[in-house]
Amino acid sequence: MLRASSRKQNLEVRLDAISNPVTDSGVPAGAELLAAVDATVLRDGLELDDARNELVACVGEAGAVRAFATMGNFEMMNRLLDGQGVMPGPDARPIGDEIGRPFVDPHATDHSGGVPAA
Amino acid sequence: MLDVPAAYATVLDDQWRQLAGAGEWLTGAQRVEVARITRLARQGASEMPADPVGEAAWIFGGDPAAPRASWVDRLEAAGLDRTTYVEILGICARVAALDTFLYGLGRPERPLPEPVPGAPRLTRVAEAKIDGGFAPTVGPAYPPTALSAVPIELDAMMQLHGAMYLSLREMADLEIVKDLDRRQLELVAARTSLLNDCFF
Repeated sequence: MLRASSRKQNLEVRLDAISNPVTDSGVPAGAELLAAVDATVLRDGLELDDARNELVACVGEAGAVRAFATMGNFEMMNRLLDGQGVMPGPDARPIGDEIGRPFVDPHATDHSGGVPAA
Repeated sequence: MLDVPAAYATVLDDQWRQLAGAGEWLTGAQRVEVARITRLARQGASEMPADPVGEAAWIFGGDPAAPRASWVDRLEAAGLDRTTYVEILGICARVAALDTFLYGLGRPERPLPEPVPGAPRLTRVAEAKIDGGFAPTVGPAYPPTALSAVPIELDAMMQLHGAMYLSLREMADLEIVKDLDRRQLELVAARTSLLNDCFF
């Protein structure tokens, strides 16, 4: 969706910034958004206050609240999709290689990386 | 610290009320216990419950990318019905959403609600079947159908999704601005998913 929304607006985006936040994503306030995600999702209380303040300075309070709400939403959706074993379409799977996280088939029989089957 | 805007506060109240009541397959007390376990797991507590309901809540909370088909098979063999699995999944996912939101704002975690007495509805959705997912869905398993075997969980998820991020209709607008522009929303979504090891 990040790539699709950027193409729709004829704007460039660096997808590798998703896995390497020191890269400039090309998204306005991208560095501040990524820092806030890291502090929140990784529950880094030492970084969070600064990250939140810097985000508010860039996108305002409503924007910052929306960012934290979006993190919450994806904490939900990530669980639903992985808990249901929902598979991305074949066209989307190569994106995993692009951002350095290859796709793992949750229905495969080798159980790689998952909860032990027994 | 940021305030919780009124529109979000109303949704949080709705979600908490829904969580406390009887569900489709679990009582209010069981649902609140699932929420308690998933919250403990998210906070890094070390001992996973031995029963299949508790184990599912634990994994959904603390290790959300770990589910595999073979694990769900094992839970089922231990007595966990796959539709109940869907209800547990919905509860855990929403608790993670609400706790993450408040944590980001710098707000304390909301105490879990008192369970509301009442019996589960025990109504099975006739059209729900295994269709590409680990558990039943109405139609092929994909994001909007993940909870479709348990309509009250699907409705609660949709409410939260629309309030916190975008409604399904808003998602079709790649140029939408909702406090942030669409690229900013998607950057947050993508990084959150990466940190959770979720391919989506």
